[in-house]
Amino acid sequence: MDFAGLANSSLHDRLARYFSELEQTFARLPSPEGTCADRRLKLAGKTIRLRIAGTALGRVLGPALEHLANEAETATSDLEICCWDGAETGVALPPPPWSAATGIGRTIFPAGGEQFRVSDSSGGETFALLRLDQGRGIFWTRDARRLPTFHHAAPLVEVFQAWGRTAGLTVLHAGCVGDERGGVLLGGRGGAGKSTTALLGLEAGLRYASDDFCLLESGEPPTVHCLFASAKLHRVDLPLFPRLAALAEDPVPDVFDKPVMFLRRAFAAQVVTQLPLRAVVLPRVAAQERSEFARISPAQALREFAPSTLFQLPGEGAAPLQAMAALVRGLPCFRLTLGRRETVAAALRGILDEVA
Amino acid sequence: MSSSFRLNAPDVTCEVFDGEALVVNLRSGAYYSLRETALIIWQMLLEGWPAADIGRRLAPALGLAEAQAVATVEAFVTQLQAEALIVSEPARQPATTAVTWPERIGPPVLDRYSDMEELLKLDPIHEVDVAGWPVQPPTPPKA
Repeated sequence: MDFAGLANSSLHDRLARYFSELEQTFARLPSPEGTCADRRLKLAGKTIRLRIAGTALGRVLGPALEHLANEAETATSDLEICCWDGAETGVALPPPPWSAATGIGRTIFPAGGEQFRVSDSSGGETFALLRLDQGRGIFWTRDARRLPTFHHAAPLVEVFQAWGRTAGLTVLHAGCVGDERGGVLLGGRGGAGKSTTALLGLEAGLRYASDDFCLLESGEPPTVHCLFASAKLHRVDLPLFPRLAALAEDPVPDVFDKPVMFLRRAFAAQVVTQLPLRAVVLPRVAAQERSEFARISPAQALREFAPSTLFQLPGEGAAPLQAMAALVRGLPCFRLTLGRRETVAAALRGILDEVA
Repeated sequence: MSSSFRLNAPDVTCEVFDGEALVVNLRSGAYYSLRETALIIWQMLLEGWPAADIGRRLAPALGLAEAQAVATVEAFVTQLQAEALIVSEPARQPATTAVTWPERIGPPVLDRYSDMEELLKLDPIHEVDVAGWPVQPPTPPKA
């Protein structure tokens, strides 16, 4: 008897049964009028359906994904996520088929469970189970009113990351801004200045696709898709961005102390759904007058920008590194040394001039 | 040291460019840059060359006697093993190498970056063994 084979099918079956139980729980949720939403989104040519039970949860998941709304879409969904708020519906998450003592964060399953992804975060306040082979998922939160601000800024990012791999898309920890010629990808470790650079570009009139997480579609040219029409800034930096500061809200302050701004409220014309990429840019803060740029090697670019993607959103193996390596091999790479804030947007345009 | 070595996939992944290899340990959060002599040794190891043979071939460029060059390469390979970047396998002696090097090279250096390790500690990836979730693989007893 093949014990390994039994174990594989047993694991798959247990996960499949639990997933089915969650779907049935969602289908039986009480749905008082006005508390449920059924949203159709279009992202990178894919159709996504979000079924949301709970008005508070709708307020968390909605604003950052508003730019993707495509309610007229009738095609079969490539991804369907059923989301519910335990507090508002009064329906708790059915107990999973494992011990509550297990401290799960994200879990990789062995053979038999490859098509499933589990994620829980915020100390058990959220739970997601994806069935990748069927493009379906469940998202539950204990109480949407308590979800920290970063959930409002980047809702379901782990779901998009796991599903994206099955669709040939890679979630990157990177900013992206540009103009009619295309965009530049802004990469680097936390604190390198990529968010600030993206937002300075936005305020200077550039098109905007990301300040933190975006979706890469490899190809010729590679394309960045705007995953979240939001941005975050450290509270101490808000006074430097008065137009953005006017949009800042902090629904549930978290350890990052970064209020969120939903950009379409003031920059609707500049928030784009996608940008073809023309260059990879690594910002670095410097005490100098003017912002300057210079070419760097693909290896240096990858070394500086890949790790934050790999380790902010782990769990997808080598594939994201391969996608990023292909990117830096195919596009010119630059170091952008940041001077006075008034000079940053001009430097970004200068890079686009150079690669056009 | 007569074994051959392979990349410790899937925990470790690597991208090689002209002049540099970026090696990432997805389990630990550490990543590494290998350039110059380190890159030469890395590429020859992954071709299947045993460490001692690499040392003998690089001895003239390193400006060392053969025994010293072999010891230098073996020490570097030990370092790579200690970082869990490579694992040994039965020897598979290749006929030729596609790797080239200049007339003079310096000692191999492994540049290690650990700034991402804390991120993995905050958001760990749990693995399970085939017995099923949530059974975690047994922790080997400490020596």
